[in-house]
Amino acid sequence: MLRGTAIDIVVIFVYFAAILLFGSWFGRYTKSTKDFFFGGQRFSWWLIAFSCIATVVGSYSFIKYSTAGFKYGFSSSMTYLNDWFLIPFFVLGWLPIIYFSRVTSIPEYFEKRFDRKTRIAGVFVLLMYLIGYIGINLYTIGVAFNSMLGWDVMISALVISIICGIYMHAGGQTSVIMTDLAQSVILLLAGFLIFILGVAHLGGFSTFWNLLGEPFKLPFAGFNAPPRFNFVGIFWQDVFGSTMAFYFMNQGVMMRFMSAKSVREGRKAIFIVVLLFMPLTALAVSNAGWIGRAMVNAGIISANINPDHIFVEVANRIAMPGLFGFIMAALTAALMSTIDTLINAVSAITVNDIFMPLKPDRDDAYYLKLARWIAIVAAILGLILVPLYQTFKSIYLAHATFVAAVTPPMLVVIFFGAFWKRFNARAAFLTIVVGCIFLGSSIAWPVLIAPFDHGVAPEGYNYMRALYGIVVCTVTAVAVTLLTHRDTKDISGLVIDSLDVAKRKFKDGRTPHDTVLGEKVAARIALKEIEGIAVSSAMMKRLQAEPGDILYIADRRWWLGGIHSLHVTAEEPHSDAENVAYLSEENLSKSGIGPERQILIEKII
Amino acid sequence: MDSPWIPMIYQYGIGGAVFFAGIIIALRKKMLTAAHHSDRGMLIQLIAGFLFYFLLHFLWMIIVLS
Repeated sequence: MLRGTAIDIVVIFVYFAAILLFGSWFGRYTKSTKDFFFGGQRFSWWLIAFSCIATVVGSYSFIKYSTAGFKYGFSSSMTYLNDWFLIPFFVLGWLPIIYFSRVTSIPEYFEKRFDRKTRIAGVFVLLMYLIGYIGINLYTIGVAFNSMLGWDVMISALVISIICGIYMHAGGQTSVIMTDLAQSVILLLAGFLIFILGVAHLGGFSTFWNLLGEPFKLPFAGFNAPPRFNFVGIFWQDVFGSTMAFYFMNQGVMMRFMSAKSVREGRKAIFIVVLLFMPLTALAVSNAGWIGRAMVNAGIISANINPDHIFVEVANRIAMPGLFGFIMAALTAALMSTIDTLINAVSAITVNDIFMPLKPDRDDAYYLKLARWIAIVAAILGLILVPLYQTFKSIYLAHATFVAAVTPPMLVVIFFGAFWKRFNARAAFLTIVVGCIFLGSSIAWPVLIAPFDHGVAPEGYNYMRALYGIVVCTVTAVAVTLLTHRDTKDISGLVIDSLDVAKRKFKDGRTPHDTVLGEKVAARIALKEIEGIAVSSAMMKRLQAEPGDILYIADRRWWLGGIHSLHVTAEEPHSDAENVAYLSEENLSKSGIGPERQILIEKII
Repeated sequence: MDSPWIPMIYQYGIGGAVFFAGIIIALRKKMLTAAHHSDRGMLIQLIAGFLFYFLLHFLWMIIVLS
């Protein structure tokens, strides 16, 4: 068992303390449930993008992908390089639908789009998924700490859950996004550091490259073999299971994009995530396995090493005291940035989908207090699940089985809900129920998956279950829809056909003006008790804005990423000094912009 | 199924069909208007992203197999 030095442990504790203070400090920006869950719809694309990366890389990513990289080669990067196929559906359909309709959770979307029954089914499935996910993350970090530092699994999980629970309790979405920014930088840096030091340790890139065989360096695994790591299984499980769930169903990711200052900003974020950060992340999380294989081929590491230990072995060989602690901190960063998103998501669903419908008359302060406490309860529930996961033979197997059994029904309902107007409430509810039954049956009788297996051996059916689930759910959804009557419910704004209605609702009934965008203009705030913001006529012209349009005002320091900002409605223009913008004291306080600050204004819609 | 190119053909065949279906649906539902400047920009970015990944994988395969 490998242990860190005293310096490593100091580095880890300093990191814990820093993140705790950093996350809790951003609690000052949380004044309402809107801030707690969505950070006030104000962040810049680059903050959202970094935050997404921190969420997609879990604590298990470094261990899992390094192991796969060591065993199967560069094809361990497959799952990070196949997201682009779904992006048109996300940026052109799902993102504007959820943003403009201002839904706060997937179940809320289900009720608006379908009915109460479907919402309840959605709440049940999503909470199971999220709390189960929290437990898995806590368990994996416990195992990692156990193998590297010798800490007890349960104690490690307890420490992490307390830290996440505290800063989530204090901060909410703003804390999540800001700590994620720091943590994503740390985890990418650690990954690249391993690669650079590892290649240098081997004697340079050409030596590293030449030490690896041709099949090892291919970007794709074998088509349908070996059963536990083949291309076709991973393609269906990852693209139409994990990736689709990440962008379309993951409450945490949905809340990330809802916290963007505009749909355009959300689109920029997703483009950067998939085109730039995903390839970088693939390298960061997998390369220890590739370096490890080269080290084995060079005779530096024993060929009998347990592949699960390759990340630790490589990190230990190339890192000096303190650096090993930094890499451990990166692992912790990966965990905390995933788990805080999940905890925030559980809070959002519990408050919005359970408590708000039950106690609709309470004020926002009550719901905010509740959300903070639910963050703590979610961390505790995840912790309670850790001993349960300890009984599984393989955490990866438990995770894959669990995710594949949960995601297809929800994904099919979300997809048809957003893109097929005819898809009705009865079909949505039955798709969830029938899908869950059939997926559960396939765990008991894997032979059900055989018609979809593409020649993959039964040991690989955990992957192919995703394709089976998608087919079963799609057939159910289409058949029930076509065999039942159309819903008479008004669903305008909730399907791709009627996004203009969604935009109009977003503007409280006013006509959207987002086809022509003006300049970003600088202004100086002056206080005046008005409802929105009043700028000069010349400025309105430069903004291409009209009274009633939604404007975005922000501190001019771009690197704040929108933390001091606000969406506010344009009033009739004033005829005073051209660069003066009138704003009420209340709105100024909400924005966080100091009275002496210069601001930038831009039109949103 | 022995050729190392089969996974790439399968991925860009199925994935490409899904990708272009998304764009076609958006065009048909007027979510994207080719005549509009910013929409055209987004369409170009989407297709450029697809080509970026296709070329990345293609060149990767060529480099390794050569």
